[in-house]
Amino acid sequence: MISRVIPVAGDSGVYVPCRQSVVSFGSGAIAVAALCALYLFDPAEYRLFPPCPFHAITGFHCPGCGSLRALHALLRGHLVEAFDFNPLMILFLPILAYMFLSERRESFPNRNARRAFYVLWHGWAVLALIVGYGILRNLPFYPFVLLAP
Amino acid sequence: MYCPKCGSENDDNAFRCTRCGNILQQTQGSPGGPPPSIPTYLAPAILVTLFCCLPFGIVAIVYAAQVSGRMAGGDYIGAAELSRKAKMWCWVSFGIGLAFIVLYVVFIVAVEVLGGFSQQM
Repeated sequence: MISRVIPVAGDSGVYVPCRQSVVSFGSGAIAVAALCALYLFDPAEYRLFPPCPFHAITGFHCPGCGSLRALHALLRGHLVEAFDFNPLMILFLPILAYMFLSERRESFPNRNARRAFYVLWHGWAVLALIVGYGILRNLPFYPFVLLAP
Repeated sequence: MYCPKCGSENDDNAFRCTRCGNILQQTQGSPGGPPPSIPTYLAPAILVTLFCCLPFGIVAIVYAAQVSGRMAGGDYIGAAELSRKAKMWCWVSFGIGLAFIVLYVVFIVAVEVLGGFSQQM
């Protein structure tokens, strides 16, 4: 089992379950409300959703640009359109779901799958993927224009 | 738990590593207590990077990426410190993203309301 208490001296790393459950319930409720709003309104048409601050300031696309439009398309069932707005985000959704599930339960799904996924450099691979993607989607020629939202 | 010598995952109560035979129980910070399992915060770091779209999410990923390596090396205190920093930067990124959204919504509402007034007059 995963122990959330880290046996080190000092104040770091001790989590009170009660506070954690309140935080996760609150954030879950906010996420559901945001997803409902995202299903009902298209971010490309309504000003209800904020633009990307990075894009607004620099003019470049960040790795997250197009995420809201992609989620809206995905919630409406348009997978291809969603992939068009932000392919990396769509690819990361099942991976993130797996990571959150496997952090909660150590036996999920089994030991071999965990060992294959949690290699020591998996964090660096994610970093390289996101930063590289952020650079490539700003290149103004084919095929990289496909990555831009 | 992870073997501090070879990094392979073992049963929490294992005495020896199944892969290299290293004795595991003596290397723990607290004998008899729960073995150290330190969250990396990689998943929330990815989430805030892709949805808050701020460079602080990248900082969180940089810290989160180092946690499992430190744990495999047996440096649990260093891993806990990196884990704490990853968590902190996740919240910083989330907080700034949230503040931006709130400011944006207030701004849009203000523009709509003021625009409505000026049209009436």
